[in-house]
Amino acid sequence: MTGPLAGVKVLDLTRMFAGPYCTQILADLGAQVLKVEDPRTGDPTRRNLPMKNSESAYFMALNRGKRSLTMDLKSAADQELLRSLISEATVVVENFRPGVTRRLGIAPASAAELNPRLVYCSLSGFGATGPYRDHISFDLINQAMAGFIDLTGNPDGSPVRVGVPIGDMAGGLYTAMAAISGLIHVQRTGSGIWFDLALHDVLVAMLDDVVLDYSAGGAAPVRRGRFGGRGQAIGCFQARDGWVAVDVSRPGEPTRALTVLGQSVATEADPADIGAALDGAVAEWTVADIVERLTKDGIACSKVNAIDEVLAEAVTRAPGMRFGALHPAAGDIENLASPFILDGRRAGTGTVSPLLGEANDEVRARRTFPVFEEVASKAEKATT
Amino acid sequence: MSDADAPSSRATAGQAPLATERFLCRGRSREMDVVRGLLAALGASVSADRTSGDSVPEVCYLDSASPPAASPSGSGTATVRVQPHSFPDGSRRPVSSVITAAATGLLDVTGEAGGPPSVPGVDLPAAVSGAFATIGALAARYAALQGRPVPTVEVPVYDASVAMLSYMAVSYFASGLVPARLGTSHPTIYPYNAFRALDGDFVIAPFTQRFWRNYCYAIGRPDLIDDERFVNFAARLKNKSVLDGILRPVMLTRTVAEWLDAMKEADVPSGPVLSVPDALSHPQTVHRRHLMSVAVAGGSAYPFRWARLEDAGEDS
Repeated sequence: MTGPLAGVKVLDLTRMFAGPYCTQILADLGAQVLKVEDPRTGDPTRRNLPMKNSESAYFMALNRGKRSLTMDLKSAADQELLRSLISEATVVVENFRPGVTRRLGIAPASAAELNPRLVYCSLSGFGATGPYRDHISFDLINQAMAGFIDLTGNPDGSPVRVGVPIGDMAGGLYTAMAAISGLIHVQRTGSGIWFDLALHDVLVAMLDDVVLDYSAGGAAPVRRGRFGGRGQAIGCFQARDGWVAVDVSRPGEPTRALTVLGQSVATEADPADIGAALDGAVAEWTVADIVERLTKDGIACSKVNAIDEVLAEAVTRAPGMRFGALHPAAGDIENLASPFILDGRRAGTGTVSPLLGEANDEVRARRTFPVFEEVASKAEKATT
Repeated sequence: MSDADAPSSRATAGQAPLATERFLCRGRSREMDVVRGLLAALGASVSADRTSGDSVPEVCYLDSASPPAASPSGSGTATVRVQPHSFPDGSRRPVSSVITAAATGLLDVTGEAGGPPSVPGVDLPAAVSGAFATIGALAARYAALQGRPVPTVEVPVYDASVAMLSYMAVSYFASGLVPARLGTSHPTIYPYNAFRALDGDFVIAPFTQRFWRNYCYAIGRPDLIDDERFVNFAARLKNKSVLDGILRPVMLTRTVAEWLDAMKEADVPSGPVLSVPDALSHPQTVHRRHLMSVAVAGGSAYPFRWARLEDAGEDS
């Protein structure tokens, strides 16, 4: 494996979204990720719809570039194998409910006896301490309890969730950060480290920018519907054939935008109250016309793209994020690579998710991490 | 026992993971503010200027969207370049965070079904691209410490925003179906959304068949479990409007607190829809912030909490 994390062995005891997202980032950066799964069902997301042949798109999106080992963690023999792999690992990432690792005999202090230089990351919905430590968590619940849902949607209507799983994703990102900072710590000190991360903490931390005024005694933040920022100078407007986002937050831009869209403007338009005027102006045009006219005048705007439109655009920047690969069960698939570009090469390109337990024979025979194929050779075959 | 006396608090007394590290962060942008904040939370010192002969790792915000010239690998200096908001077609069109969110699909999937797109209350393109840039900087620094070739890492803000589509993108590749705005709902699971109660909103997430059965008991409608129209995930999705018409009036009969007690009793994943002030003052938030603030210097900084591995057994 190549990449900045080449040689790092990650024992991946996670499932669902946040944990697998973390370990996929580590794999994209060159780490060898061995995913441990339940032998009967595997990661539950292997059954999430839609499927491509027998493979879940959801699972394929979050487990590129890993290898899969099935283990019955309640059996003594497999617990012994697990301890052996912990002894060899550089990083362990787990997202069991708090307390489970202790029952399995692999809590951080026990792991330290096996491997005192280990980076051990625990990720849960609410963390390992506090009144909610045992509360079951999903992205929806974390978005709700961190204020994200109340902060999003029409102020006169019902709140809505952020349409992408930002709670899970941010949890994965922050755990990846913790893991690599732990590697640096171990390199510098020779001592292992444990991280206790919570999706709730991560989302609350992401509010910091929003709550600056409130924390200083100002008004609480409120949801602003289709507008961003404080006034109406940044927002979504309905054109004849779809929605367009326009940003006229810089001085003079509201008036320029209205003029470009054929409105006569007697006085300088007020950014705080531009919404109704732009609604009227934008409604007369198609999205393409608006984007062309405003862009020519140096005003930031975009069609509000649906996912199919985004992914059509995403192929145009080389090296692109959309790539094709051959999956052993799903056949020809398309997937999304990493946003990282390393020395001009797109990270994650060409990797596919593992079949359940495909590394079993290799790991059980040698009682060690399996061999990881050089991904670069796959990337050469990938279409971008 | 107070938090300060608890084993968990003593366990956070380990040295900050990046206590030995210094990073150079250049450029003014929200993305770079995120990078600076995250590096500092992990214990690194962050400076704005390079001193003579200095080879500290560098995160810089580019002045333009043009791809940077590659620096030689193996130079030992980790470099991460955050490419500012730009479009992937290489055009020089002006762009900002909400525009990136619109272009990358984030706004199209956020909002009420059939209603206008909604702008999330948090600047997610900045938050996510800043997080990716921080990860890139740490990975490059680790490679340098290992004496291995150090790659130049680029993180285009646009690409980090596209990455948020994740499984939704791959689901589209597999099915050809384009997701729509769904309020708080899930595209393939119902119920899995917010409900209005007597005095506010709360969410439930019965992600498995067991949780669905528990939910039916919690709301006093065990008859729904064996109803052919709702017998499994596919059936409930097919008959979503019928089921919605049954559930919403029931949910309106009690307060949020009463429902959350019932859900907890029945083991149904659930939680209140909290305002930002209520989220900040929630007992769990207060506990975690307090726990981190009382840890000794260098022990932890919100939202990261760490401990020496051998000390971490009490609450893991």
